[in-house]
Amino acid sequence: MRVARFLGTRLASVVFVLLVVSLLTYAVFVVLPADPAQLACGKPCTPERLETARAFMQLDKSWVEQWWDFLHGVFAGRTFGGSGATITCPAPCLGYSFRLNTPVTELILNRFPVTASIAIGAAVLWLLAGVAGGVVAAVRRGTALDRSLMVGAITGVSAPSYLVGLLGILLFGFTLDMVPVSGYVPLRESPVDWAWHLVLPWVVLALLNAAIYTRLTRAQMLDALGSEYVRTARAKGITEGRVVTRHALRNVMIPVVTIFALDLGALLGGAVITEKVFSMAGLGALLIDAVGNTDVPVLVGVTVFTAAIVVVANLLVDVVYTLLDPRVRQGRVAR
Amino acid sequence: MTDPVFDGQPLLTVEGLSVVFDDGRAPVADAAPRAVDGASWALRPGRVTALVGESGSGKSVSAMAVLGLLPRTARVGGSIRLAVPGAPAGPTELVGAGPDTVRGVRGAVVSLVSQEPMGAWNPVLTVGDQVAEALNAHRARRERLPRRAAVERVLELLGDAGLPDPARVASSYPHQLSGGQLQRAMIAMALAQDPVAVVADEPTTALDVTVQAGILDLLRRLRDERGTAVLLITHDMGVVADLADDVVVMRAGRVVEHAPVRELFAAPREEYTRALLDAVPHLGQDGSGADRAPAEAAGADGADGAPGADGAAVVLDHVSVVYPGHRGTAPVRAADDVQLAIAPGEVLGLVGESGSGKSTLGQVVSGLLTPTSGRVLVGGVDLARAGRAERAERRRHTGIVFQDPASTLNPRWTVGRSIAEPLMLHTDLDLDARRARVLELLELVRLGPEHAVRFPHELSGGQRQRVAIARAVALAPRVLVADEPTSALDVSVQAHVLEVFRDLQERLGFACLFVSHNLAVVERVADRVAVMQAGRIVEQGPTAQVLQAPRHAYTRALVAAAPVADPDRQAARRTARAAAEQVA
Repeated sequence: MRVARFLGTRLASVVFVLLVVSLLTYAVFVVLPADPAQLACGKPCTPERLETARAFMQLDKSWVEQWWDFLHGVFAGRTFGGSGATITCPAPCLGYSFRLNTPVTELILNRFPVTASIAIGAAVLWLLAGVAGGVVAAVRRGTALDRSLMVGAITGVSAPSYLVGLLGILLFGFTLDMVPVSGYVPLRESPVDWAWHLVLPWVVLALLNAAIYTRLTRAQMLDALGSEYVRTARAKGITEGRVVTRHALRNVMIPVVTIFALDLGALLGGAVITEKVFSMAGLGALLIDAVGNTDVPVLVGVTVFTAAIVVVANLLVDVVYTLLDPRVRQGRVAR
Repeated sequence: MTDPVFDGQPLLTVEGLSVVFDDGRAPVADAAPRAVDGASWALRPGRVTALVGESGSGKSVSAMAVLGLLPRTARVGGSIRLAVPGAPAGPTELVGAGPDTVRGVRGAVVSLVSQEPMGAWNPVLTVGDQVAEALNAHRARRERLPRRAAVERVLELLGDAGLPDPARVASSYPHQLSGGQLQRAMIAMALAQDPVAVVADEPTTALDVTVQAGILDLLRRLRDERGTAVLLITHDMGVVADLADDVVVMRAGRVVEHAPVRELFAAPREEYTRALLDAVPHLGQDGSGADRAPAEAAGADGADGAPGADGAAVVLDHVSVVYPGHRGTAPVRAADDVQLAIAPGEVLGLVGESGSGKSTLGQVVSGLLTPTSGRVLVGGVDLARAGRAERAERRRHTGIVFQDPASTLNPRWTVGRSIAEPLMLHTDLDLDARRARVLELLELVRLGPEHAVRFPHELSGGQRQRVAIARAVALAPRVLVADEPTSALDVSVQAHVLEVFRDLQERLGFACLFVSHNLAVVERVADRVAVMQAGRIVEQGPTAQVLQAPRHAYTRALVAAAPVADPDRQAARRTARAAAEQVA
């Protein structure tokens, strides 16, 4: 009962946040000087033709009405144009790119698997590597191993992803010729090729992000290892390995999971630079192209979609939190 | 040192123990100060040996050295020999022993009950799981108790520790239980492997007195019924008198005196032990509130101090503070229809256990908290109805001293600046005048002018608290709220701070709400006492009357539960309490 109420209020707030994000997105793009009708009209563009294009694209209404149309389209689909030529955009319609002659939803659905493949693979890799590195560094605190892990982490945090990406391509792709340097093979076509094409972007992204997790895990782990409850656990006579994994690690994972879900959510919205470097047609690449071409419907659609992912990631954090931390489950945190 | 009274083989023999924390800052390891410096003592089977001393005396460090639980920067020297009766291998040397030997001792031979009941439990595992873990700590994987047997054993242990509902406790997470319940469960966990000795590190310091008595009884039963030896680490002479058989007094890492408890209390051989015993405040001591000018306190109407008294410094009229519940928890009435008055120049002691609402009342009087209902009059002005300017003016005349001076002084400010801050905010004194006033205030709390340029970390706890008092009286307030001002201090320091406080109060004549859980401390400073339980004032009146002839059952329980630093009197009180419980 309590869980249901908790989830209910959280879901309501998700819907509210998405409404606000879409409204703000509309407001921003209407203020911008970009006019999709002008771009579609071509040259020479007579005022009559411009008017027709506007009416066709339904840009002749106020931005609030346009926003309402957008929301309506998400649930009921939309039909652009009037007498004669019409374009339908089936629900859930996140807008229609007149430049690419494709519904935005379709564009996103085509691109999202690429981004998701990169993001999830990389995230799993960096979570494992980062947490393992942090735990080892904390347990072996002050040793050469700890110091070299921390130097590695600092290097990782400060290295720009395009540089590491390009160096990776150069070394493993060309010089050693071990892995393909670009392109994407869908998972359904060939799982082996899919993974093989993704190895390099995974490693590059993981390398950069694992650094942050190593540092965070190490700091949290040191805290936990110095805590009273770890002393109690040791005083029982259980092995040090069990002290670390059963007592310290679970407390350490609470903040780590929070950061992880947020990072993963942000990355699912498009690994812009990584996709560019490895020439993969993901969401990030779609967004960059849309900015270059002033393709406003795509910008709006991708922005709202990305926001939805981040908000859902947040919701998942809350759910995982209640699983990890009984104090949150009770709705109150002990002092 | 040998104990002339007892001639058995000691369980633990500590000889010339020294501990140095080598954090790499001292140029030579030997130059670092020694936390323990050549201490020798023994723990005998079936007896309670207390390590007593003030903070920094090395008592806890010594105990942790036995269990090998010191931080890795610690360098341990000397000898700790463990001789388990009937063990074929003979005595084991623990200093310098390998990690497996040390781990073999932990839990199985010597186990630990630590101070902070909340922090000592892992917050994300149930209490039952954590106790069950102790059962299997030294078993190989295939020898582990089956789940069902483990659960049964856990419930049995929790029941033995005096927990009435073991099943509920076992399935609870630490934050769902009270400090007393957690400490009982902690003792159950310490007994899971049937050890010959238990190290109890300040086992009751974080608990209320009425709960403390129960935990001390449980530890005593351990010794009497199971023959478990207890190494008791404490700063509280009352606890020592209640439980210990042998006492080791420590100071600055060295053993000052090692004697059986009656001998030590009756005829302490060393000057330091005598001073330590003298510093312990106890009820009915000289200089209690009874001899303080009662005429000043007459501002309140009669003995129960009903508000409405003309010219009272503080009046609380039907004050309630309710914290709203959320997510299905019931609202908490931290203060429930409180009627209280403090006359000008009067010290009102407010006593009660944790959660009774006494700190909440302190905040109401100091204006930090607005009550849910009722009127608060400070100097005749209703705080809730007063305008901004008037409230600021009131605040000027109200000083506050908090419990922990280490966290209420800005660590990056000099002492002088901290004391001068209220002067800068509320007066237009120029720099020279402020300086002069700061020095004057320092002198009032018996600190030299050189302290003005020091930082809080350069001062001792007692000095810091005196600085906090100086800051609180900087504006010559008419009302001072002191919230457990000496609870974080060692007894000898506490005695001095209380003396400074009394002197200051007589000189400056402010009215004071003195909040404390320690009845003896309150007796030393208060003219009148109010006893609080669950948000209500259950009894109030002149100090001597309330503390020496309490009328309310709760006050009687509080007075009876506070251990006195006298083994014989304490034993008599214990018997009387047990008899009273039987009748009830």
